[in-house]
Amino acid sequence: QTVETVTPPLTKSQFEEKRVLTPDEFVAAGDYLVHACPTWSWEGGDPKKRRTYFPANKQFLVTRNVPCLKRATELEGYNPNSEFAVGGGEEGEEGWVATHSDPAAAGSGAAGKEDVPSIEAAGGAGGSGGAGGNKDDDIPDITDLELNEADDEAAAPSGRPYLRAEEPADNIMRTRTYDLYITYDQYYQVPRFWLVGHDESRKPLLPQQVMEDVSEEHARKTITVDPHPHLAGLSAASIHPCRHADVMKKLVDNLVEAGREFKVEQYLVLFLKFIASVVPTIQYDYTMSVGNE
Amino acid sequence: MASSEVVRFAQLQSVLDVSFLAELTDLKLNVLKLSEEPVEVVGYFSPNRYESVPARLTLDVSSLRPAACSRLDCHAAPGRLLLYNTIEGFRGADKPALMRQVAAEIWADICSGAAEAEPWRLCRFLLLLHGDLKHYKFNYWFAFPALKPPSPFTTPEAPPARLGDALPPAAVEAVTEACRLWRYPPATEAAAAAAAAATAAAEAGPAAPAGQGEDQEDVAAAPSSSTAAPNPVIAATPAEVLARTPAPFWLLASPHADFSADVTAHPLSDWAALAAEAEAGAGAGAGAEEPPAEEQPPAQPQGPGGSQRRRHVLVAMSDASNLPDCPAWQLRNVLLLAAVRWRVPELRVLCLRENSRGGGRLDARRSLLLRAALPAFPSSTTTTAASSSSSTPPPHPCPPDAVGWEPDAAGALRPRFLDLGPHLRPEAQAEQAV
Repeated sequence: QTVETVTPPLTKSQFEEKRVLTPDEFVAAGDYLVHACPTWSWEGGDPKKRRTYFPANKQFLVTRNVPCLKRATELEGYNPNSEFAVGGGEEGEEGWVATHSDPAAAGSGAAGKEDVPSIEAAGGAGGSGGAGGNKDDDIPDITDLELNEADDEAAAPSGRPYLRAEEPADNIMRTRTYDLYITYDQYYQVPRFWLVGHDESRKPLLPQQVMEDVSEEHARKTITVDPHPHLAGLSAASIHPCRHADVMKKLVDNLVEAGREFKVEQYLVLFLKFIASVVPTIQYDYTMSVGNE
Repeated sequence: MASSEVVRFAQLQSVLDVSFLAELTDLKLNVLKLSEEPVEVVGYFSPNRYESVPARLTLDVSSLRPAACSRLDCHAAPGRLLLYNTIEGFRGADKPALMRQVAAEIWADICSGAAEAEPWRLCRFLLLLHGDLKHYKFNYWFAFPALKPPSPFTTPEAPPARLGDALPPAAVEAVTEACRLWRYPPATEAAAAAAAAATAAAEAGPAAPAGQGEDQEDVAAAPSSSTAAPNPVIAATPAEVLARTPAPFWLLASPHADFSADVTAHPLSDWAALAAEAEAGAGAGAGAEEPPAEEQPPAQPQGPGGSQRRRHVLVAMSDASNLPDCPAWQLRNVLLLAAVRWRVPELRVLCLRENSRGGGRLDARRSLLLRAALPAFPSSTTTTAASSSSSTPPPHPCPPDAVGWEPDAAGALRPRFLDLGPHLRPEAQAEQAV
């Protein structure tokens, strides 16, 4: 951070040589990503932490509520080194995709939730009569705050299973969700990837817990916990950007060797494909194509 | 349609981001101090994108301090935050009265027509909160008020049809495009920049309002009347944010019964005009045009001239629910509005869900086409409501009951608790940063 105050941001593009980005190129790549995939969006963040070289409303990128159905360690046959082994090109991409859990797994979870009995479903239409009287009793005493709402037959028995973090039964799906951020790291001149998670009962995850969703190799080496550059008070796990330029260079070189054209706007799309190998179970959209496929 | 079933709605789940509570702590200590005045906040939701993630309403830092140009992919819902100084105050709050108060506001907005001009008025929510700021412990309780109709909404098609099954591929395409223009209007950048006059550095995108652009203007021009937040910390007021994000409910109209071409998106406030067009042909009163082909064997528009083509209309909503047979909670107030204001016996609703892969487009496999049968409101209600333009005082003395307190993790109607000590305590943060 101190370095940033004395080092001016990169102004001349070094994309061709080093595969790093100027702020302008970051914005261009971000615009491309948002256009290609509206689940990502630009945000302004805390005005006090604004980087002046970015437009006020385009400080960083975010996609929210991305499910993460299982922990990275539960993945069978997952090779933590894969992102360095894979090249670009078709076979490489298959490799990335293959490391991921089948989204169809959601189906079994949906079936599982029917096993959880619903309080409201039993209510039926008849129950609303005495509701007015009940409510007065519910001005709570200190020990019991429970509220007795009029039976509501139209409430779907939804969601409950997701709320039971401590429930050990196997048929209850555990869905963590993540808000994923991409910021620009001025020192390394590359995008930086942040993970902010919520557990099954929507409590914020601690950084140690976030580690469970990062491939083992990276959890130990390249994940650090730092203050979020644009959101006050938030410390989050992020993938340390020191190796990003190297990896991106390798990936881009592979693409180019395969005869594809790679434009700087597509940088983040490719970056996300690389990140997918670090967080194999977080199901964000990294399926956009790169380089005139 | 032998049996009809009660339509069930997926309850919303609240998500409080750490950044929201961090900002709230700051706000409470430095600005609000001992004030217990309600604070207007903004919650965000989007169409469902992941099968495994239930309907959600998220509050983060931009809920308290809406930055001028953020979260354009989401819809905004107006919330009232009641911040209690003491845990006793939190526990002793008269919750039924608070619920009745919000319900009355929603009801008044429905009856006056304000909810058609600004559909986010149907998404109001309530958040009671007490924070032990020294220890970063928070008790909170959300309510998402849904007004109860005299009898439940029902549907003749037990599991609602999936869009892809209900409409031919060409129609899915046309509907997708119309919805895309509504959700991501080309004029967004320009409108956002205008709203953000305070913040400099506006993107000077030419972004000519094309296509659906005009529809936005209705929404954008209207608000500012309500919720003036005199809070110096808040750069853009919640009202501005609400005006800026596309309305979560809108109308789709097409001259074709199967929506196979010429599908256009309209704000809810166009209902009367679209219905009038339809009635020019049908001539009947209540609900003449809504149930298009199925219910009424096309009483072919004996319309004057043929210049007025009969139009088929359905309501579309950004559906946050992930359940295959239940739309999200927010639809309840929309259906109630349709029953009270439009007085139609049946309404077709497109519950829009998006695909998480391949660019967030409408997911025809998961989006629903729901046929909802609406109960008739007692005539005393509807007559007063209909003539509300003349009578500004509360058109109906007694709004319907409302439900919608959020259950806790165990499924009981109790407040939720969050201990952010491990996240926000300076010592804890220092420990993590190794």
